[in-house]
Amino acid sequence: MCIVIGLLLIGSSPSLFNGIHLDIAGYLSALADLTKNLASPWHLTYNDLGTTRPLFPAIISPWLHSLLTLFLSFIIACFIALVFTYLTLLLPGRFIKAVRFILFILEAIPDVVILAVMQIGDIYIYQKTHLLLFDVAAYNNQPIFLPVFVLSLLPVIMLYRMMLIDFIEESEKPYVELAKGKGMSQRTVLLGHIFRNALVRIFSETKYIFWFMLSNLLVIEYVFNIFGLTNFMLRYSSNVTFTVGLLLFFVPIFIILSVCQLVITKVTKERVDIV
Amino acid sequence: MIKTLLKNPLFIVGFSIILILFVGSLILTQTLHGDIPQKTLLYDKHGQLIDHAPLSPLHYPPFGTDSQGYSLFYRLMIGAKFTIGITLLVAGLRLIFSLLFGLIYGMYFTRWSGFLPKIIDAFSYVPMTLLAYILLSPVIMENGVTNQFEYSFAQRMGFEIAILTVIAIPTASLFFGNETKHILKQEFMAGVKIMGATRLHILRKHVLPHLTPKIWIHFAQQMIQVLVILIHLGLLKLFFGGTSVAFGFDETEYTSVSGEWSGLIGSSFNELTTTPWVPFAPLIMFTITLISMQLILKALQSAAEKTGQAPRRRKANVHINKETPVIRPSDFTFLG
Repeated sequence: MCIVIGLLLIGSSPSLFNGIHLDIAGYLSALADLTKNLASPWHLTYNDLGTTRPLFPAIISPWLHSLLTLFLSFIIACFIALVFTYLTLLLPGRFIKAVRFILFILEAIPDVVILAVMQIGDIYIYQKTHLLLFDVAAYNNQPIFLPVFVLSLLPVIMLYRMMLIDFIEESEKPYVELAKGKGMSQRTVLLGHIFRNALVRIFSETKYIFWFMLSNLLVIEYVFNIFGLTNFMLRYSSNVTFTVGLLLFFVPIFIILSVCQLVITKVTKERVDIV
Repeated sequence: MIKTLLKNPLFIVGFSIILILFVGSLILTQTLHGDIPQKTLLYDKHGQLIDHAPLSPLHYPPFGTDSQGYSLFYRLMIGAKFTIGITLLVAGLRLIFSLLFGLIYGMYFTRWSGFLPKIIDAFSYVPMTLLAYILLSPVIMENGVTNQFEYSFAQRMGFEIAILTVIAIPTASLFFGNETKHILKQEFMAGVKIMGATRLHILRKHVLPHLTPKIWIHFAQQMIQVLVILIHLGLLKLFFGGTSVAFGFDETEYTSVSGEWSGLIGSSFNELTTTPWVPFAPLIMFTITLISMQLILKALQSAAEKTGQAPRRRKANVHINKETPVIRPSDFTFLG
């Protein structure tokens, strides 16, 4: 509930500045207006080049598209990172150290660079082979494959690095030695014990990863000209669309994080604070 | 901590790259006086025209030229001082203010810990680029119809620095506040309080020394975040110091007023497919800077681990009588 209040405070922040001057009175009245308007969500409107249109059926389709891109990328990123981590841990120790360092450097590469490389690579392949891997720009049919791919790349690197750190830390604990001493195979120990325990710590970073992906989503939707929620907020920017957009992102992420927290608490009987 | 840092090759490499970019930019600005080398037409050795601007990096190393024939390398080097300077300034301001608020919150407002963190938590569901864009665009974007900025260059710059600083302060303050609270909860604090330490003494002698490594790590992280936000804003055609908008016949042209890197990305990203080196040159510079920052961050983290949580303290000037008691046979008697 407090977070919703916080989002309202952030949502009306465009009214905080009149030009470059602070306008506290304007901010407070905008905040009051916003709260009053949100009380009747079906009467909310947005301004499309001078014409006023009702917000609610219009925002649903971009919203669903954004959510699909976001969650699909996240799930794919988790899966790929997990597979990579598992494969890496079977390597000898020297390689693991090198992989960790390379990942640390790769994490610094900005998403825009990845976007640009993907676009150029796509067009280059098309010129050479006349094989269009992905549609770069779209008008009616919204591309889904390339955005999801680009959006999941950086989270893969981040998750991969976090998982490696957590898995290595977990595998140094005494119970792992005991399990190995009992004659269990490396694979059983890794999947059955280390994985389960390390997952708790990885999920505590989920919120940060979602936050990071939201900014990336904005850039991707802008560059690929996808009419998603962030693009909607950008194009018809007003206090109302901004706040509603933020709320629409917040609610599903919050629900998923809460479910994750519940599941982890039940499974591992450890108290974790994800939300 | 500084000694361990200077021994770390990662730190030396990262730091010197950024230093070279910054100092090189200042020197070039002084020596060139704004005359960027220009080459619009390229002839081969027989005097035949082979290419015209924009020249590719193959013809005009290292980065090629833009569509007006200006050398991208010199443009980027001259812009470097803005980009690195802004990043340092914004990250520094974020650090100072958030440290101040965080310490006040952590030391004094212990009762507010219920709802304030939750309200601030709302920021972790807000894409920072979008927030920055929505707050900045009315001021930074030139009015395309009247072809005029509403505010002067200095005002726009100040406003942008202020906004970029402010949007990160709540989260960062909360981080420092929680760290402070964590230190105050340590076991030795009970002893410190019993000895009668005032709040200022606790702050100076116990909280700040424990925070110092975290402050530096946080500073490096903030610099990385500011750089990423600058790239994003540049892509969204919001350039530092102002975007001048010119409506053309078929497309609107956006140019950066200050010549800073993100402006070069935004104004040329549409040419990605025709002249890829023009948007790629600033992107490469950004990547180099970000990787150097990441190296510095890594070095800071390992230095903080090495020095450990407890900072070194001077040995207390107390002499304890360490004479080991001498055991003589006469101390013992046989019992029966």
